[in-house]
Amino acid sequence: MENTIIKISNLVKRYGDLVALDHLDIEIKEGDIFGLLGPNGSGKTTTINCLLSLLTFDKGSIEIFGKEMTPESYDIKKQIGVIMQNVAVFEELSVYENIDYFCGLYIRDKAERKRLVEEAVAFTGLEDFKKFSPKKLSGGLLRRLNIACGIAHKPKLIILDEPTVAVDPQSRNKILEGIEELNRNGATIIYTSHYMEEVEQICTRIAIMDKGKKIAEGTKEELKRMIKNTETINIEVLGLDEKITGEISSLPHVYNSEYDGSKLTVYCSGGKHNLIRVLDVLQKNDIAFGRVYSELPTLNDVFLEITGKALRDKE
Amino acid sequence: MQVFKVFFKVLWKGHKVPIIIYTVIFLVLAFMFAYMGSDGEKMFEQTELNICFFDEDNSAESRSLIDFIGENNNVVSLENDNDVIIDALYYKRVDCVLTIKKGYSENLASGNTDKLFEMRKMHSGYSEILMDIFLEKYISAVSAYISAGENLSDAVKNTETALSEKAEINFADFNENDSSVNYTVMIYFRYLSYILLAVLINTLSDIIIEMNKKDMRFRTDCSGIRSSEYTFLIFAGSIVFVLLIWFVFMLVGMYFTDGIYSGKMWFAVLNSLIFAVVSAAIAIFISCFSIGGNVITFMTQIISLGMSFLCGVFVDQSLLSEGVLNASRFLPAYWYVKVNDIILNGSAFDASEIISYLFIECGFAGVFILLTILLRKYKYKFS
Amino acid sequence: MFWHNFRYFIKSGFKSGNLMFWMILFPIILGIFFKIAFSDIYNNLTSTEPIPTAIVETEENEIFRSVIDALNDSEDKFLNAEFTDENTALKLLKNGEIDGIIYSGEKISLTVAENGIEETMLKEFIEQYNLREKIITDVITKDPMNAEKVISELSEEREIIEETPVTHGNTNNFDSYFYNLIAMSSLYGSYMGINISTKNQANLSTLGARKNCSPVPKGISLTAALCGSFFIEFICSVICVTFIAFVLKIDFGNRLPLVYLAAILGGFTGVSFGFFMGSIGNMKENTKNGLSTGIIMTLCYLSGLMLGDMKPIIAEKAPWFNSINPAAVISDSIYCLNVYDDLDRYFTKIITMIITILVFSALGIIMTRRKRYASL
Repeated sequence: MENTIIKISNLVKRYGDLVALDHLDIEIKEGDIFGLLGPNGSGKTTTINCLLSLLTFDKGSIEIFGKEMTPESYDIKKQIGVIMQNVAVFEELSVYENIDYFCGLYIRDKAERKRLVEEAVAFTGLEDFKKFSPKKLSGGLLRRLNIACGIAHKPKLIILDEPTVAVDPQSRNKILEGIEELNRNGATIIYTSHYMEEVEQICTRIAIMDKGKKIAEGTKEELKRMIKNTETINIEVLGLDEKITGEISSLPHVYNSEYDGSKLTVYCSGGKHNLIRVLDVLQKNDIAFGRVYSELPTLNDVFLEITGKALRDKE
Repeated sequence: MQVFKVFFKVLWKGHKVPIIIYTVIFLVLAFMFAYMGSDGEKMFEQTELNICFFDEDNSAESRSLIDFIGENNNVVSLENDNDVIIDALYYKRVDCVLTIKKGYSENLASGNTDKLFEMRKMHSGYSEILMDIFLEKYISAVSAYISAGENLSDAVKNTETALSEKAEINFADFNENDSSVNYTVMIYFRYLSYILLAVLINTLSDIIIEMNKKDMRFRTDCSGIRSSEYTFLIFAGSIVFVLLIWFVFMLVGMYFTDGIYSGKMWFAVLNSLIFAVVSAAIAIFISCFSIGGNVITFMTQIISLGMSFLCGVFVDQSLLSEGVLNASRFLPAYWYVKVNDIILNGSAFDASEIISYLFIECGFAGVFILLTILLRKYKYKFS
Repeated sequence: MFWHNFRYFIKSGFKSGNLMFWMILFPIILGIFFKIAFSDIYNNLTSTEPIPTAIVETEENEIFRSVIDALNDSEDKFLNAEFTDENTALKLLKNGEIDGIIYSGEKISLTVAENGIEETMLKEFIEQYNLREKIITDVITKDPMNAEKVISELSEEREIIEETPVTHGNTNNFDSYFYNLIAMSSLYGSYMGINISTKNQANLSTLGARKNCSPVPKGISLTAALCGSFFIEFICSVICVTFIAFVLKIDFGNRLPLVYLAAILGGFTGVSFGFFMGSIGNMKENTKNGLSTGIIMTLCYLSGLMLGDMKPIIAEKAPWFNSINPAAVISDSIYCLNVYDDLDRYFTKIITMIITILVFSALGIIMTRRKRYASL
């Protein structure tokens, strides 16, 4: 069952002096939803383009389905569905014609193609827009068309490069659900994004990239276990003096705390009942507090801890 | 002021390429066309024909004839190949191709003047008739001298002496020596109408549509600025832009007049200013229809080329058919060219006529502005 | 797979408003403008209307008057003379209603206001009159016996020139603007050629990248697109020539099928030129379109689209350029059909076009053949 579908070893890609991919190793098993997470410019799309044999690379090897990937590997390409970061459709053709065109590049049989195209239309919920020109579609619908063009031929491996950029929340959820459904139907999926929530939500395995390097890989649980933070406590509270903040900092399992005059943030590593202990300190000093909430670590915390910077700017 | 500034920023950022391209292409064309025509001379000069001879007779008499004709015309040599001759005649590199047939001198001496020459014919026209008149004059004179008892060479010599006597020709100069107007500058002004239309429609329509886009308009309407003020500022921006473009072309035009315009040229300058306003009014009218950049390019081409061809910008009005001219009366460029022609042909200069034509052009501008206002009101009501 | 690509290329081509405007609508509209502007010029320029002239008699000149009267009565008179007084004559001359004033008296003189062939003809006319007078007086003073013979020689109607038409074709040289229009519209096929390269190159468009990921070999999709463009261009050329020949009624002689052939091959030349243009460099499609418009317009200008005199000037100064300038080759091939009796030169032009098509297509394919890119 656990067959290796993609094996990228030691991949190096340079643009002049800039090293875009730095000795990258990735292995993807059948049935995975593999997330490539990283900030803009970290090399996600370059990895995908090398994988698809669109880009030359300086070193390393790429194997898909156990065979070396080259531009002429038409057998391999037949099994792949690609959804590019930018929408790639013919503006002059209708929604239906676009799907039919791309499907037709993979499937020769007309009757079968017709069935597949209809299925793709239904799958992406574009039934009402079949005759529309892409120019008339909204951003979300256009993205869905882009996906339909990539998956109509029922590929075994689907590569999605940032499919949800500039998409409204409803369309985004629909797209994510769709990806999970494709996976349930047996497709292996590679998914790149800089939205960690999405990756956390659907990916079974995740590789975090930064500056062309893979800095961590594993399931989301494995990744979170890699860092010391296990809980972040936030308390809205006014007028704390240094004595009290010092007392909180010295509690067991607390490794850092911040106070900006209205909000206290306490970072904990391991241990149980951390929140109760913090609140005890406040009660003991007879301090009134407002909203209290505790957060579990996110992939952003993972990224933050490994690279020392946030995954993306706060939006 | 902000709107005003943005207007020019958008204009320059988004439209500098078409503005520059149109201007450069136009200037090249204008310079070329302007230098193609020559200045009117103040003395009579005979029209020189380009004539190609094939001398089959090759006698003293035939050579003498060629030399004699060559004194007042250009003798062109061509390869005696039908295709070459066709090319030369077709493109009017030569006006006549004349073969002096074998036996020319003998036949002339014996008085047998039938078909001494062969003329290769393509276009008919005055030049062939002119050649015909000349040769007939020459041959009949030689024959007359021979019939008076002279031998051939004397007859030819006498004929050529007699023919060298020129008629008395006076040149009537009706241009009141107005050195301010010359042919080149007026050709420049004539083509100017094309470029004003093309540049202004292409850029002005585009930018006004952009400034009036729904989202942009909504956002501005939400800001402190009053809607009428916004419209006014865009209008002001357009006027400044039109004046700027026009002014640049006026500066270039001065190259042809060797300095500041003077005399009747001021009418031409005024004419072009009014036409620039008309073009701008057309551009603003077009911008009422929210159309994309491609469609604007199409409109630009069709309106600018169409008006130029119909109204005699590219081809002289005198060469257009009556029907076309009747139709083009309803286009502003027709009146622009008419004013231009009056200024150029100083012979029938009449300032009041010019002024009435200028008013007609203003009328066109008024009509387009009125249509714009009506259309905007209508659209506002129903949007 | 070829047909699938071919079919969809054609579909998207015909649905592209921009492409259709430049390739079909624009030539038609320009053709209409040409027709309007040029329809009367050739006839105006080749018509030989009698030259309007005023005769002002300063003194009685019986003989001259009889010459004018005889001329006015003759069938193919070349001047239309009218006797007036001097003031009227000057006014007419000022307004351009007449070309010259002949003063008849003891001496004949001419007054004109412009330089031109009409004025030169008037000059020839009075010189002819003066010449006869001179010869007659010469002869009479020498030997009055010969006078009668001389006068009869002078007044004999002669046909000294034999006229042979050089061509049986259409000699209206303003129609060459339409030949150039066909050349221009053919070369506009280059927009489609640029489109082929853009849509198949991964480094030029996402669509190109997407196509490169499909299992269709690049050679097949390129050939399909190229053939698709040829097909669209074929239709466009046929529409263009049909419109010019049957709606604008421009005379292409009796070899119309060969005109179609020239226009179609011209269109293919345009497509392959664009395909080549599109495959070099990684500029944006719009930039390439702009560049190719510039090149096409320059080529058309040098071939005489804007100024009919350009072609003979080039033929004189740099004849080699006319034989490689695609615009000149296309318009020349149609010109050859119209004025030459034999087809040698026409076929030379056709072969030139075929070579151009093959060379540009081959270069384009060689350059777009690349499958992996250093950067996207």
